[in-house]
Amino acid sequence: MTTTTTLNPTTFGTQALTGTHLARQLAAAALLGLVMLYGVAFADSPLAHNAAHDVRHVTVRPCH
Amino acid sequence: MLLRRLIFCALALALAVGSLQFALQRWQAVPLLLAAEVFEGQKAEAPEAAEHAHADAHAHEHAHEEAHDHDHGAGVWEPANGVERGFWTWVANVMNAMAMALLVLVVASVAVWRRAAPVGWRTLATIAAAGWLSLHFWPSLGLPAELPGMDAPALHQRQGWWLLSAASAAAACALMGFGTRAWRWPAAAALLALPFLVGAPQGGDALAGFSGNAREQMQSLEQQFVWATAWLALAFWASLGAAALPLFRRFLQPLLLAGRSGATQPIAARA
Repeated sequence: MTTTTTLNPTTFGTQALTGTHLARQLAAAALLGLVMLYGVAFADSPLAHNAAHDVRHVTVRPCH
Repeated sequence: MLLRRLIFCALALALAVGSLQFALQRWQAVPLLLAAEVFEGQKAEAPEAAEHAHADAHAHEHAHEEAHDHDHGAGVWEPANGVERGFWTWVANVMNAMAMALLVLVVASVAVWRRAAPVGWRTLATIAAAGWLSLHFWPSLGLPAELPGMDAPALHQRQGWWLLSAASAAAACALMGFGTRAWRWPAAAALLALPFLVGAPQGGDALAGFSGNAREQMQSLEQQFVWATAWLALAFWASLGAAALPLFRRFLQPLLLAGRSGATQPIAARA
């Protein structure tokens, strides 16, 4: 990793974008995306199903 | 912070692309859904068909609700036809678009980080095409678009196959896009073939509950619906890719490039 992780004391709590930080943040974003996809398209809850019914059909996700 | 920027960019994309998709659906697909629900309400349930419908979570706004006796009972909320149903469909479209936007932005970020160079419209177009292939086209080859009222194999079997086909196709795309070894091509081909070797769940006659004129009408509606969903998916991924490009270049790419080139400034502070 070539990135130097110099912390600027005036910006306490922030850090340079290293490979590890990047990987964690990208993984968190991808996970959030997958959770939202699950909620819209796959959740078994009848409430979620009824609210997203038309979108499930139109986006060709398995529905009822 | 990169994550915060990713989420805000995805939210902006979701509101734009999800709303556009909502409008296109109302024009192209919703009339077909509503027409099919009228037939669904009139459907004389064959014993097998009844079994399917009762085994799965299923509650529609039926034109003839009394014709059905679904296992949900009367207590489960469902949006009333009209504004309420439209509102929740819009919400679901925005959520769906946000999920896809997050995935597109993450893949574009990985591309920038790996190359340590800016990406252009070709990369974004490739990512959008990979999204369309993995999350729409490949699953719908085995499980074509269905209208309300059509019989289908058990829900969990279909969901399982959908996930298998989407994950296999996504892995194949990742291998082709990011791999460097020669064996990535046969491996990607094997991954693409995998869901079809396993086989999509097969049901009997999807229109078993319909006869005569209703059956013909449903067949015609189904054909129109398959085309409508295909065009809508193309429009969705094309608009998502096109809208993601400027946002990604403006808000995410500089942060990634600065981090990649070893900036000594705490770049995250500028987020």
